[in-house]
Amino acid sequence: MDSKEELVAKLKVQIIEALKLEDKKPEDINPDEPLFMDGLGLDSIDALELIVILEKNYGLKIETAEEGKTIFKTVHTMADYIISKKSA
Amino acid sequence: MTSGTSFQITGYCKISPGLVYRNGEVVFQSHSQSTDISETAAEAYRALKINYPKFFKMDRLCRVSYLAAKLLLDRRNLPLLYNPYNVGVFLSNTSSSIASDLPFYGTIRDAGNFFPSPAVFTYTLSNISLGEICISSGIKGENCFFHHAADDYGFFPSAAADILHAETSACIMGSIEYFPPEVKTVFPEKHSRNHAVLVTIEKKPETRSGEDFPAFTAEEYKKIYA
Repeated sequence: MDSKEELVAKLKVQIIEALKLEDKKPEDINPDEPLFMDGLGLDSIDALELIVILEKNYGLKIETAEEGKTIFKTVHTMADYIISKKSA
Repeated sequence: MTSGTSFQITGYCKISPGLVYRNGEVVFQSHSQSTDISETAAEAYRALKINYPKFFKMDRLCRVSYLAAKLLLDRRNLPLLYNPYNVGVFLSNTSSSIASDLPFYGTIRDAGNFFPSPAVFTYTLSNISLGEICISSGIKGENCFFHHAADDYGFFPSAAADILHAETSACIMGSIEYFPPEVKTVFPEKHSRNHAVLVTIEKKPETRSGEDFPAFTAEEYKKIYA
């Protein structure tokens, strides 16, 4: 399994690709910055794309909206969620 | 209905591969060999230092539509000149949103790899480009996107009097035909233009000295369109 650093790097690339953030590079994304609102400024459609990223690339399904709020806080929280599920 | 009402062409913007014109002047010229007008639009967007956070998140049809409308409105800011509820947007093409339809189909055609993309799905309707123009500019009037079986530059000049409501004072109108190279390989039999030709038309435009706006007729529109 990827280390957390490797996973964060992968997630950044996947987010840029899926969300069509063509003016962003992986290094522009601070993994501790909020994905929504002030940080990357993602919107509700982007939230759906994040769900697809987890399902398509990691086989993980988000069951509730509440769960999503915690998981999709930052790139780091996404990585933590993936690691916790994969090691469970 | 506005039968008998004559509109005047108060500005135009044309985007073709590698070139962006506004009112007869070259606004941007690309040195790339790309035949994709969305790449021209993206290059122009960067070169002209336009800052619209949503630009690259829109699909390619919408990027072209947004840029053409933005360049027009920079010269004739219709929603400021008029009540924004009396400013409309009417677009047309022959290829609808095919440039997003195909990528979306790519996300659902394989039952074993079925991951429909919400971000791509959003743009699988050409009239989303109307919304993008209205949201970014503050235009709040009537709007419609027409699909034609064949290229028809005469449609809007002849139909404007019938399709516009009486209270509409001004419009962005024209053709946004985005048929990118990779789509041509899927539909080799379809011959479609690859351009954006938008005009601003106004009923009673305020003129500065020396300005003489042509009537919105098929003949005048053809001069721009050709």
